Amino acid sequence: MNKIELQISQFIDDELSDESQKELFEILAADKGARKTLSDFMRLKKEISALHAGTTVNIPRNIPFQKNSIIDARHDKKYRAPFIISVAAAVVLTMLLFINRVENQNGLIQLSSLQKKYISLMNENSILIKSAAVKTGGEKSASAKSTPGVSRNKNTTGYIAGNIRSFTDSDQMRRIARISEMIEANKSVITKDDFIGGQIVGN
Amino acid sequence: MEKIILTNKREIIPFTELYEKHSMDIYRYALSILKDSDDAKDAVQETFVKYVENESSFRGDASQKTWLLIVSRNYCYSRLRRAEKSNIRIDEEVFDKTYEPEYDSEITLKDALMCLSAEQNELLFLKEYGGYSYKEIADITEQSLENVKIKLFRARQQLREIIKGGK
Repeated sequence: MNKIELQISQFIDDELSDESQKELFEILAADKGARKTLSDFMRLKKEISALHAGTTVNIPRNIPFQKNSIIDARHDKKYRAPFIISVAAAVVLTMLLFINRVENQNGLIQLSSLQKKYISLMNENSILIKSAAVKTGGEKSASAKSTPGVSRNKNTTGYIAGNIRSFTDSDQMRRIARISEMIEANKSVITKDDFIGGQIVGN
Repeated sequence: MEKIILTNKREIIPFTELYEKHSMDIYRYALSILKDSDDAKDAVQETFVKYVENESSFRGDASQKTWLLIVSRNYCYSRLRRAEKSNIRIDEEVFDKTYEPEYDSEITLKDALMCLSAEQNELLFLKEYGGYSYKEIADITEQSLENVKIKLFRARQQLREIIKGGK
């Protein structure tokens, strides 16, 4: 690297110290080649500056975009995560609501089916009680055989009939008959609230 | 000729005024690195978008113009790197054909500048047109003061050789 040329480069950039400048001037006074280099570099400096200054292009003189829109876009990013979380929460809640509704419907269907079963059992029970009452009156075997409910469901009727046969007290029989009548009278309005521990209570 | 004086003012001027005042200089600076007008326009746009996005974090340590130049520089070099990665390279033959002068004509300064590297063009722009000191250029280009001094000298030497060779 030519040290003199480097100093010339620094000199035209106004970055050479006073002491170095004095040395350079002495060299320039004596060296024609150094003077030529100085002249070339100064010309280049001037021409490069002029070239860039003369470079023009149709850049919009006003802002080619809306500053606010960029800021809004930045804010959009800021609120994106909470928005996504909110949407996800809404979807989950909607699903839970739907599932709960389906479960409620299933519960109602089950309740309705249980009510039907209960009414049917009560009917059978009522028939059996009547037949038992007849039996205690002296026609035990004949009335039991003629009862249609007994033949329809042997397991249930056998169990109930066995229990009924143990009733010997006429007060008990009367009480059962009264309850049965009450059930018959109110069977259309029997609800699950009438069940407590598998027994019918209330009025 | 209007001399561009780059002051070290620390006051923050409004965005609209800032754009009108510096957009053309940012364009010229980007052009010196990218050597393509459309790319340089993109650089201007990106630079000011970046400025708006980071306006609140601008602390005024440097002048707004210096800050804009640094942002623009980062964009330009990342674009050049992307182009290299994408193998969008100018074929040497095409390059020579494009920028080599006709046999019977003199090489122009513009042609000679196109033969220099992006970094050499950038340094010459900052010094000759921008009027920045070695220290300021070192800050903008993130290199040592000594490097700036030597690279600028070599860029001038090379430029002179190219022009001489064309004559």
